[in-house]
Amino acid sequence: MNAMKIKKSPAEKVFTVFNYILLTFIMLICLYPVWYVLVASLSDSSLLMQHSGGLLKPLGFSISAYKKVFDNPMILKGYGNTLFILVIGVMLDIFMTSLGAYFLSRKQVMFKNVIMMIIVFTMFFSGGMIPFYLNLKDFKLTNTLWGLIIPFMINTTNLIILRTSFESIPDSLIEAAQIDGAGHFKILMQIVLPLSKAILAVMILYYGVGIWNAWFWASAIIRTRELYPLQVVLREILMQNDVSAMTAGVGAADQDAVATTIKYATIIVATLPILCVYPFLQKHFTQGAMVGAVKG
Amino acid sequence: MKETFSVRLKKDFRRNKMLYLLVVPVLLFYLIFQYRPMYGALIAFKDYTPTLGVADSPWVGLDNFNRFFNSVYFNRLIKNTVLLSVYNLVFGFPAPIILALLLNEIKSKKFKSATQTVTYLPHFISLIVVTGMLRDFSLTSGLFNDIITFFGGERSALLQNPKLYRSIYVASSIWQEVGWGSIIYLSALSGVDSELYEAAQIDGAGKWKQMLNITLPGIAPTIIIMLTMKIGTLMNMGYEKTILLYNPATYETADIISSYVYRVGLLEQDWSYSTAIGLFNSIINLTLLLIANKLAKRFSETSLW
Amino acid sequence: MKKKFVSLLTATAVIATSLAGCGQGGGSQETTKAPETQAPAQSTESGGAAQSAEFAYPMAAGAKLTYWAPLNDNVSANYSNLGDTFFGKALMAQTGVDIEFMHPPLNQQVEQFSLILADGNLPDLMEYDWLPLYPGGPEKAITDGVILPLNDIIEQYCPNLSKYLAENPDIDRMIQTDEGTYYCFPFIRGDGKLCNTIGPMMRKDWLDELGLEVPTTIDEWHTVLTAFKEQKGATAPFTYEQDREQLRDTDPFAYAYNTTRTFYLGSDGKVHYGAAEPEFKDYLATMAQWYKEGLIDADLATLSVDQVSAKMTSGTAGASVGWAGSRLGAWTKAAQATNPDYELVATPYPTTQKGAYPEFGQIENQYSGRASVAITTSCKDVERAARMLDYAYGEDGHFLYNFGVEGESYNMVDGYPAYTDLILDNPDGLPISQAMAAYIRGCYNGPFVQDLRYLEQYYTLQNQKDTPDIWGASNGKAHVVPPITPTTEESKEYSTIMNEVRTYRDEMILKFIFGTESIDNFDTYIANMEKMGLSRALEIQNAALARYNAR
Repeated sequence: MNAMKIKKSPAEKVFTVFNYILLTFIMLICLYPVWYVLVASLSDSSLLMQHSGGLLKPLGFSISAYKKVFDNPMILKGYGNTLFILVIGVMLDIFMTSLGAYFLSRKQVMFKNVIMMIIVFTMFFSGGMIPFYLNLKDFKLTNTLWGLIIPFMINTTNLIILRTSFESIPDSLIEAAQIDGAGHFKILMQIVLPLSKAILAVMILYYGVGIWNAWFWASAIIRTRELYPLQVVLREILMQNDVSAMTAGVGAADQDAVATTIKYATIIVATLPILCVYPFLQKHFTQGAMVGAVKG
Repeated sequence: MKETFSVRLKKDFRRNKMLYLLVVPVLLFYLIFQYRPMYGALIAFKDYTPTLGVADSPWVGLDNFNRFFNSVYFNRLIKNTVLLSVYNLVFGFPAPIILALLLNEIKSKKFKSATQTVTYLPHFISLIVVTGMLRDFSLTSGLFNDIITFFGGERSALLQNPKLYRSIYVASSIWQEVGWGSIIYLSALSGVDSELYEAAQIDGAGKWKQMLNITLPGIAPTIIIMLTMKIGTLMNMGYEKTILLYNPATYETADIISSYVYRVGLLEQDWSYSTAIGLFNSIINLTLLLIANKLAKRFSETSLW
Repeated sequence: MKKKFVSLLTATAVIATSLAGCGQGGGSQETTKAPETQAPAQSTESGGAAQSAEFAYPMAAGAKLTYWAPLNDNVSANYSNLGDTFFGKALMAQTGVDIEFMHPPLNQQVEQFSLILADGNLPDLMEYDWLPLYPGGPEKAITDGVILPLNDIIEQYCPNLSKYLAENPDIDRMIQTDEGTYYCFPFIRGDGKLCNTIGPMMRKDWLDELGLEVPTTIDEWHTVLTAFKEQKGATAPFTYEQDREQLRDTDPFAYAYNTTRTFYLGSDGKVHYGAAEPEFKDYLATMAQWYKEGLIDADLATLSVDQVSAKMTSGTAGASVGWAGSRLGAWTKAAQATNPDYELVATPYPTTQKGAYPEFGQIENQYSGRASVAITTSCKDVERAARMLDYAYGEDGHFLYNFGVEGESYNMVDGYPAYTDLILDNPDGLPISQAMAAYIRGCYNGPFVQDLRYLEQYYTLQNQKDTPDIWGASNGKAHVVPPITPTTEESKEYSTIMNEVRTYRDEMILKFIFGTESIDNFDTYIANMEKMGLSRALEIQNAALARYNAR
């Protein structure tokens, strides 16, 4: 904070240089495959087929892959469905998870450990896909977007992470509020959550990306194609001509492969939005959220 | 004087009534969506047919388990699953932490922000594409071999070599997840009071000392919890990446429980079999978790319970 | 207006062809069209026919049918429901039945299938790979109460299918269970030539340049591949996809040694497992030798379609194995964009002796058990469902499923159904497979009989058109194992054994070829497969075969 310049030792200078170089290298190897996908999606499909190895720029520029992608009636619908699930889902998820994490982070609660064990137990044992599905059916959640939101409101791993974070909030703050007569719900809303911006940003990211990428349950629960979230549509395009495809018969196995360019374009179209979200959330968990709070 | 149970109970409810109320929706959620269908685990002990339902499918006791245990490949599958998971843990667990620590040392906000954004990109590329690239690069004529010959080595078909498989698998997993995994640690780092650093600098402590005495202890709870949970999911190696990356030449190190079952299950939709194996995995996972949690309690202040 | 014209035209076409006596037995008893209400007494063949003399398509309005089927990806590229396609609409119009199609996501049909079964809410009709995929086999699907046995239903309501089966007894046998029960409306490849679609191919332009003939024996292949390597700079002269089981099992060089990688029917009429036979050793030895010489792609085990395509189109490889459409055709089209001389030709299945007729070759059964439609126990109006499905096996339906709507997707030219430019050169730029998929099902599969004339036109290059003859020139048909099923009790045992055997086989084959394992250990390899229970698996297979033959 104070602009007190402390001299860096030569070792630290070397370290800093080394750090920058290392991180730049890591950035490059992380960037390259994404770049490859982008560049390949803008290439001509015949040229791409003949090519093996790396790519730095498009082979014969062409946006026909993107045109085809947006012609697919399901892409836009998929976007809409996913957005719906995303907005509502993240709100509900954070709300429910906060309730649970708050409870589990309090001290001197007799049944806390029991409840914790009940919750963690579910990480290991479950009924499997079919009973889970039948259960949803009993609650009329199958073939609806709500069926992709409500049964997944709490992710136990996230719950535990959030709890750990809530535990580090100083008791003095909580007790002060209790002395002032605040009930637990008020404490949660007005003290704990505001102090947890960093971890909440992470939770939004985790739940958000989880929802964005989810396809398995959607493909199991949803029967109406119009309700497919984006990833299900994306997977269908990527899995065409896939090894595990079980279709046979002359035509079915012997199909013209969907141009790889279209597959890559689909990936870009489906991933780009979520990539843009991160920078906005990023600033929330790189600031010191706790500074000054202790003194308060 | 020790209080009796009922006295403690009354005290607890008086104190924490609101808290228990708060947690009711959470409990309901777990009871309704997780516990209600849990009877399905019984499928492992039955010969399940979807049309008959769980209740009416006949019992077969441990047959499904025996079928798995008696497989010629049982030992190999367990060994491969465990080894792959352990390698992932040993090399893959520290990587995001190290990245977070390195990023934390960067003063330039722009550089830091750019690095963060770029390193988390691979997490979003579908496995199908990532394994496709890996296969391309591992060809005898591929990029990895180009690098190997540059350093004086010989070309070879990398993904056909069982000895190299685990390294390729783990290294690519680290590459794909290190950025994304560092997010939680970056968040934890942001919670470490910066005044502590200033005080340490004044005291003359160098970077290394600062890290040992301030940073690491500051994010220790996060690290321990993440580690405990990772151990508790050790046996959960999904089949997707394996299926895309392996081939019969590497089965001896690459074939894991889930990929083997996938080859059987796919032909038969044998729910009983796959549930039995899932149960087997879960029991091992739970045991590991209990051990890890006990150790965490013993050696640190953080644990699951 | 158009609909009326089309059905009139179709009716005329059908009358015309039937009167021309297209060789079907008992010519003029067509009862599927002609809305005349002639005296029912005319057709007194069997009890059922008396009813069908009054029956005509389209049917009167009635209940809607729910129909669950996987949606082929050439359709899903442009439509999200089969009912929206030209085909779907025409089917509903021509049969008069309103159909609600339901589709699982691509490659997720197995999971969704189980969920639907567990659900209890079965759709009326389910199109599924009943034979290979229902655990325990189709007979169990009936005893489990999922689908209806169709014997009576076919007899009463399906004159078209009955007729077809009567004329094709070997197919009739294929689609029953061992107990003689019919369970589905099958997908049949209507001509033998539709069944061998995979085979070896190589660069014709290279052969011409080097002055070589298309090889027919193992030794000639050796010469050609060596020439490709040394004179054309091909680093992987022979390459092919290993990750696709169907291609992996179609090894032309194994065939040359009169064996295969998997099950085959021996000349003794019994099921054999090729990978455990002595001839297999010779095959492996040759492959190992070729691998050492660099004639086979060094990365053999890791190849998938993208890599093989890249190698074949860029000149790194000169020969491969694959389909005529999506490999030979696709590669030619892509490569000719930059290299107009590029040409791929299909080669015959090689033998070990010059002039010998190939004993083995790739071929599939005309009925594979896939994409067949069963009527579920939830179906209320069974007659309606059966008649709707039966339509496909009559003349009108056959043309609809294979060629589409006359005047739109095809025209009869000298008695030959020729696809129009809408299909072959689509104005919106759709590739042929997608244009076809909007109008027909002939280009993939479904509950109908596939017509060879679709394939003749789907193959646009002459080299493609030659493939059925070149690859079909073998005795493969005698060696393909018919669609047999183990009993319900045996099927679990069988699949456990075979999963182990297959895993071991695949590993060892590569080890032998790469040279990591010496061929001298071949006997140990066979002994190990025995230990895993190979003979028991063969026992189960042969028992199943005996039951099949007794059908």
